[in-house]
Amino acid sequence: MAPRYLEELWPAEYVLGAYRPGLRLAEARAKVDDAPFEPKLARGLAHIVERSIGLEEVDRRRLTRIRLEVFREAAKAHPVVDEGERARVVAAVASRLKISAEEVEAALAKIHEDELVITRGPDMSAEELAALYNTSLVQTLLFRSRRMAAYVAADGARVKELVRALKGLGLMYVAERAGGGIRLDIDGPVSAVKQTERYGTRLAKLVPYVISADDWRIEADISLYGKIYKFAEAKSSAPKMAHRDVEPPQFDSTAEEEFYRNVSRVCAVQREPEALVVGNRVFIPDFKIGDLYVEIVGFWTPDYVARKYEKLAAAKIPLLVLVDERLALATWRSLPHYVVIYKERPRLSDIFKYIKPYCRKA
Amino acid sequence: MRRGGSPIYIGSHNRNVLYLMWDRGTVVLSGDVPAQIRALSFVKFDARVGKYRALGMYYYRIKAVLDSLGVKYEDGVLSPVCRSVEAARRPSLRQYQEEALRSWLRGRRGVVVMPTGAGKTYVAIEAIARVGQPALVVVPTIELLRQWERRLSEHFPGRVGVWYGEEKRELCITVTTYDSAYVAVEHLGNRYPLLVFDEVHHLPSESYRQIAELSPAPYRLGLTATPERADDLHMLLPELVGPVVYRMAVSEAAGRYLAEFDVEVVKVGLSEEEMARYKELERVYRGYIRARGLRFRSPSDFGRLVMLAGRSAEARRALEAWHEMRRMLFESRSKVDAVADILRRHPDGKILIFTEYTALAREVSRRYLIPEVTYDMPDQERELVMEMFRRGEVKALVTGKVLDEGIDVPDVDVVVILGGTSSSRQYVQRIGRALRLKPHRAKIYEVVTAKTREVDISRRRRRGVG
Repeated sequence: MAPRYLEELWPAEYVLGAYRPGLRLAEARAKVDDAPFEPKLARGLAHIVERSIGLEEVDRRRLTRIRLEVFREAAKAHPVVDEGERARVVAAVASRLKISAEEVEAALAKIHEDELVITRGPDMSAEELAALYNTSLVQTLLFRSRRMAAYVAADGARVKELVRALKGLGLMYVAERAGGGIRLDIDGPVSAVKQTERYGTRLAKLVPYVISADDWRIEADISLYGKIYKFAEAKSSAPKMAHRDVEPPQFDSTAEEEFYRNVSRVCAVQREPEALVVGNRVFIPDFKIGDLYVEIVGFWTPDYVARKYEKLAAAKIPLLVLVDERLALATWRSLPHYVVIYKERPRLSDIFKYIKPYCRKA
Repeated sequence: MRRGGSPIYIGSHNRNVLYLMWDRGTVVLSGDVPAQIRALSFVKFDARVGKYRALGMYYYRIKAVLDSLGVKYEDGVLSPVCRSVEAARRPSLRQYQEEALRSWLRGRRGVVVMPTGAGKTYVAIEAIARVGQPALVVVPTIELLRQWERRLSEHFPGRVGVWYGEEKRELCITVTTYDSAYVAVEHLGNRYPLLVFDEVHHLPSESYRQIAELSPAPYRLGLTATPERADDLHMLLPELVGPVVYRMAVSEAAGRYLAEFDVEVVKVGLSEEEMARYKELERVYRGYIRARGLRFRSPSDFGRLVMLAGRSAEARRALEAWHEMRRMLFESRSKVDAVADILRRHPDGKILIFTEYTALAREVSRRYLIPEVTYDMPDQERELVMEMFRRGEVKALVTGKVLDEGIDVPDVDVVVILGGTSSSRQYVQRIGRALRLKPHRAKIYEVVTAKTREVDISRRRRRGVG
């Protein structure tokens, strides 16, 4: 199955044009309702546009205070059922609060968001809106998905962000090498015992990370009307979608930062090199010097350190492991890699002999 | 370094001893898992981590099998938020409440069925006090969440937290909504050995059901006036919460514990123009239904139409016609006019007005200057308005579906239904607002549009009630 992408720009232009500054939100929405194309498309575009507009600012607490005054005053004359009595109540509240009757009526209305006036129109082009809309179509489909496979070919920093986002969302993955990149089969803890769509919204949140890769492909099982449909999309066939800017890589510790600073004075050091697959896990070593990977294992929670150990033990690559001396030493020395124990921070003098054969001038 | 040189990466337990661990809604079994456990239909091998796994709800069944086998194991599943929960003040229960509680305490699992106004909350409060362990109370709306928080705090002062939206405070007893719990059960699940589901008929739906499935809580209490669901999913309740352990019908309670009531149907007309449009829409809708031979006996049949609308333009037009007919019925101007007469007839009574759409609630509020309680309103105003209504500072309130359920507005004398579905559950819950025991009879008005399908909708929802 495939979503009905927006290929033409004029519907996007129409909806962008509906949100003109000076109109009440309700008026803009009425224009959207009258759009000369499918209501579903119009509402979808409007939903995105409304996130980027500015509305007149109101002090909702003040509005509530005025409204409660009105309700109290009306209760004294309960029931207020004719126009004259209604006007009298509004006037009484206006004079007590020393504001005009119009301001009282405005307070009654403006508690509803759609009565507010648009002060700032959408600041995006029709192309951008179409890209956001098409991205949201894919995400909306994924809301009903049970699992997702994502193939990505990207630098280590991008893959790291994807894996970090995935873990932060409480999802799980199994990784394997595929073509020039990595394939991740993504679902959640419950997926092993029950088919569930509970992770659908979280899988959808990964889309911006995946589609920012140099090359990508998404496959998912979508559950609709009690049936399962296959969905697949790839960079080569997809329309333009909304990319995500990747954060510049941060150092995880001062040990890492210092290592980078010191070593890069003598050799070319690559930070967060390409993503590797070890067992069925993604492994992105901290640095790469020539063909030698370097991983710094700082003092961290036992769980984290345990997982890191297992990963490193299974890695079949030229690897230099720098270990904080506060971790259990004997075990780490048995790793099938170069291992250097450091105190506080790794020192160039201790590690230079290992990196020297791989070192090319910076 | 640990004894025997075993490195810290193994963690705090020995690799070969069976260990039960909580993992975001599931129980993970590591170490030596006995064949009898592996053979259980609900225990699956998870190749991703190389361990066995089961849904949280099976935790106690796994334990029971292990105990009967005499296997030694370490159990790290439950991690209660407090050690014990004691009530500062115990509620005094009516005889039937005591009976319901006793029946539940036998297995500490199950559903108590009682009409609105019969005091289900007090049964739950005493249940929490008797179990004496942390409880997670799950409710449908924020209004109900506030009400439970208030009631529980009277009995467990300083021990009651809430978990929803922006406000996330976990205490020995935490009140949350179905929506929040659906997500949060992954983190909160193992911290509460007792689960209380208010309006438990919501639970069996595809997503909410997972709150019960992912939680390892051994003790579970469900409360409702009507457990039955049109889609028959209530059949899942025994497995999710436990069997019905106590049941009291509306007819049993009326006059004894609840007020007696009269229903008056007020018919209003559509304008000629509106009627012409209505008939036109009806032709489109009926024409399609007949041509396709569709029959609607349950809500899931209606789902067929929605599904067809995804594929054919004709079906989409029929569905749109249906929606517009509905809006016409529920938003018609004459209904707003009808409210004036009813307000005039009850100058002293407390009146609660229900609409189907918030647009109509907004119009009623604007015209008669009575507060509206809908999701459009800021939380703060909603709460203040409810307070004013409780204190009698305002005599009438208009609301959409927000107050359909469980919320306690004492001394309502008159309920006006301007629009609603054919569901008798919604009907029972709405009129239940007026049925707290009082010396005089309660009055229910149903305002329906004459010569439309609404007459039939209204008859269907009243069937079998009162």
